[in-house]
Amino acid sequence: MKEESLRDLKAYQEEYPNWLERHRAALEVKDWGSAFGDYPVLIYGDCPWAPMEKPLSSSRLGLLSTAGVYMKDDQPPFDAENIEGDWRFRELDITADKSDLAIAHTHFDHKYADADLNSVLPLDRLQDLVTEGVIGSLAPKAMSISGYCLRPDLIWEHTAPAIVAKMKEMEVDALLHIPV
Amino acid sequence: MEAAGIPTVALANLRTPVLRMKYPRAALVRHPRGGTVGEPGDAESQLRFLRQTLALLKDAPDPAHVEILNSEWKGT
Repeated sequence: MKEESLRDLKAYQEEYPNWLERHRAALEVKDWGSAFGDYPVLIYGDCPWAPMEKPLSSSRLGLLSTAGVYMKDDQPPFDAENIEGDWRFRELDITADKSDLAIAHTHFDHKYADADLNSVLPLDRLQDLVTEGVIGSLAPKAMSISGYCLRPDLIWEHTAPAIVAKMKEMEVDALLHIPV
Repeated sequence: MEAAGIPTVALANLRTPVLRMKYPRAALVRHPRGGTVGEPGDAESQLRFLRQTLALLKDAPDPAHVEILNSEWKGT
């Protein structure tokens, strides 16, 4: 990945420890409103661009979700109580029974997902689109992260390259990203 | 992901982060948090939003393109 895409990564890394110390007490009592007013938001520069070379109908699609979904019998949940969030990722078997999947993310209401997981993680709908012939095939593993993470530098340095490598390994042609 | 040669598209409901993060291609819907893809049990609408989003892989005219989808959350 090109460093210039993330214009002020260094500025973020310089400011973040001080910001965290200033707002640690607020974060611990989940007072997001007062904490995030001066959070050192990253400013993104140029947008990398890869053209879609193949028709979707003959492409393999990968899925990346930020809903904090994990496989509850096989994986530890995301550390939803950590004030800095959880920057790691989980791999979800797209054929897993819905009862094997759970959400560890305390920053959004799970009521829609509890009623129908497709509202945040549309595994059934994407399978419908494969059956219809709109999508060629799906990558066997969906990548799952938690949308609450105060350490984009760790995502940039560790999580994103690892997810790219997984997508390459699964010979993914295009990626659908669904943030929450 | 794009820098590694994999075209990406996002389906999202939060306007500010989408604009700030410069997703290569993004579709925006007016859905509450936790319901990005569509209302629970409404497979037809979920499929429509996904089809429109995935179409941007080919159809987005330039980098950081954001398409506003015609969406309405009917539930409470």
